[in-house]
Amino acid sequence: MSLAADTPTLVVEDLRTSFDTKRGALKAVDGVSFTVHRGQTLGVVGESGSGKSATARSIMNLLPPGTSTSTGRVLLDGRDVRNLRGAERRHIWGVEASMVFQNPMTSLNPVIPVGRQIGEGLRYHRRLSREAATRRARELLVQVGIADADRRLREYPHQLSGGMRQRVMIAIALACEPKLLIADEPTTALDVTVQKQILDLLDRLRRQHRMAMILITHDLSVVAGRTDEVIVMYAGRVVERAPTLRLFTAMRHPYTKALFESIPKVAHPSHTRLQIIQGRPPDLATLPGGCAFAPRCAHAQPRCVSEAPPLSGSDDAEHHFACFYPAGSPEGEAAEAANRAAGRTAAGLRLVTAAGTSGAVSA
Amino acid sequence: MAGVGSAHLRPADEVLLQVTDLAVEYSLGRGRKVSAVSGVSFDVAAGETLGLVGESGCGKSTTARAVLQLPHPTAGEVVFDGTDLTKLRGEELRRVRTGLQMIFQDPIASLNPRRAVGDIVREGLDIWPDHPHRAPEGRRGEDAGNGAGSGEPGTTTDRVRAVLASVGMDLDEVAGRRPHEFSGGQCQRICIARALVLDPRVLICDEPVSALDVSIQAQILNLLEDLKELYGLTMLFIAHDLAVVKSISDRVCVMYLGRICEIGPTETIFDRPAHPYTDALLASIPQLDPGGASEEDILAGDPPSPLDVPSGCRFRTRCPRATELCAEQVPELRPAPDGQFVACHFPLTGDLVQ
Repeated sequence: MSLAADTPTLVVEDLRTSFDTKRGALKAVDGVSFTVHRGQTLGVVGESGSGKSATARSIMNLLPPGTSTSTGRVLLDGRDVRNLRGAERRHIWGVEASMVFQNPMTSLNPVIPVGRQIGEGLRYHRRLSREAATRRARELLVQVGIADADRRLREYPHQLSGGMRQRVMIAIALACEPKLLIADEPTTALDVTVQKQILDLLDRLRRQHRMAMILITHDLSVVAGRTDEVIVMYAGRVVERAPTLRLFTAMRHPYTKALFESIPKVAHPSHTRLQIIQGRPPDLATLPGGCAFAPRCAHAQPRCVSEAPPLSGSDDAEHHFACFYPAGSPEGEAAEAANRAAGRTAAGLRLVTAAGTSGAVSA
Repeated sequence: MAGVGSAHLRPADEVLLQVTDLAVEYSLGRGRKVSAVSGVSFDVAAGETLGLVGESGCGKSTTARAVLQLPHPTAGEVVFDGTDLTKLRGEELRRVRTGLQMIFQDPIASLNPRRAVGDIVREGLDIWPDHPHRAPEGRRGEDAGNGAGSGEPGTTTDRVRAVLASVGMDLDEVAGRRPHEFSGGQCQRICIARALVLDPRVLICDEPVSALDVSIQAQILNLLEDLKELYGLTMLFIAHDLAVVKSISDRVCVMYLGRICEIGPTETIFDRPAHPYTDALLASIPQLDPGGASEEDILAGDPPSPLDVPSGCRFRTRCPRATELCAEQVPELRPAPDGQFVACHFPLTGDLVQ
């Protein structure tokens, strides 16, 4: 089917999700759009509250009913899956798209052997017999790199290590061969050596199955080298989107750049003074009117405080950023220089010299 | 990685904290025991930061708690400023222990949600009213920030005000508020203030930034570096993030399954690791390099269960260099040519100094 080859696996258009809280509507996702093609990996990077997990849950229709509203289109293989109900909706989960969560211990059922948990989707969606489901579960365990699969099938989650549990989660997610896999912080709870194993495994399986994948993380180093494209989110919006290589060679949004610079690097000598981002992520219930990053941004100008920049700044068709005074541009550099000269930004952020900033800023 | 031995220890009068042959065992009932830490020895000189790294379950947190006698270690000595803490009990122990304070991974969970921040920070001073807390020595009066170094040891409130100011908070603003009104990063600042109010000489940090957002991590790490200088602190810093450990430590100690693999100056450990485990750990750090992650299999499988540790070197079951010797003999920490000490029969940097 030549037509299907051209249809992106996932198209998200103007996704908006808000949660009703006592303090009013909380805009967790605010106009997010992106596309993921078959066999591709999209990295979604952001801190807590940036809306990255809410985006994933909105796509999967996993939002708490009653207390949330979500608009926008989600096309899975060309079909709008936003308003499906009942059996139709259940057919999406696991078969069309599936998800791997951060904490495998709370995502697995503690009182059911893992083999049966892996086979559950196969029994339900594929109508496999118990024996066939067990056989397939065994194959899947081997595929995700678990040794001694026959014994492990009969074990319970608490008998497995953290890394093995995450492998089991991946086996469950892949059981029905979904077209799209969303991995939400899949390695955050794991050790660095296991993290590498799991990321390598996801990458290998994506290539084998030609799946589309979304890798959600707070860690820029996780998406580097493992994704084709990256979107950076801040306060519910996409602030920068670019092919991975392009993003890491030319970060244009001041937030992306500051985030990158604040990470301690192994390549730097010890006791290297870290560049910090002052302040803390904004409260989604009381977002400032203009750019959400303006209160922490060294480039902020009066325009940033009054007007929210759209994701329309661009170097070319593939690299977009939502900033009036982007890093690496004459306007951006002039804005920062003017702010440094004045000692403060238009949003009222005091700019202090690089040293001795830690105590003065109380998040 | 079985690392035992004490060749790497410096003379007792050159260090502030010396831990020798520390062992912590937990009973599992029916006579079974799990050995969380065995034969661990290290020392920390005054003003130094020692980073402890390793995967979960390697005993790094247990080691830190055992230093504070929480719980008392099964065996070994913890000598702090000439006093062996393992020999002390009751009030005597608590009094000496004011000199060592700790901050934890989850700052929100480590603050009592029902108490006001002012009370939380001053509690140590209420318990030890005659405690001889000094004013900050390091940068007295110069750039101590918001009056933290204003000089004379004054009232309890002055002390609380000064210590909060040094972590970037204003006593009048925060005193009556409760922990839930603060973000994770702010709660960690409060925890640090609480730890520093009794003017400890040693600050033990157990994963102090792992629960924080990336943009807040750098703030707290810079703050710890500033406070170390301001108060002349000696630090034991535990983290699983190797880049964080490298950034803050003067020396690094790598642990695996309750034993030390390698210990030495930070730059040496990161540039020229001698232990195969250190090498594997370093190779698994995700690179901030979009060129593509290498997919070589660095370290397969999981660490063995601490209930049933391998004989000899504990790392041998996953080690590419392991031989029969490794199963028979526990390697001792011996000096490597680059200045670190390594517990390996076949280290990566060639012959060991005999």
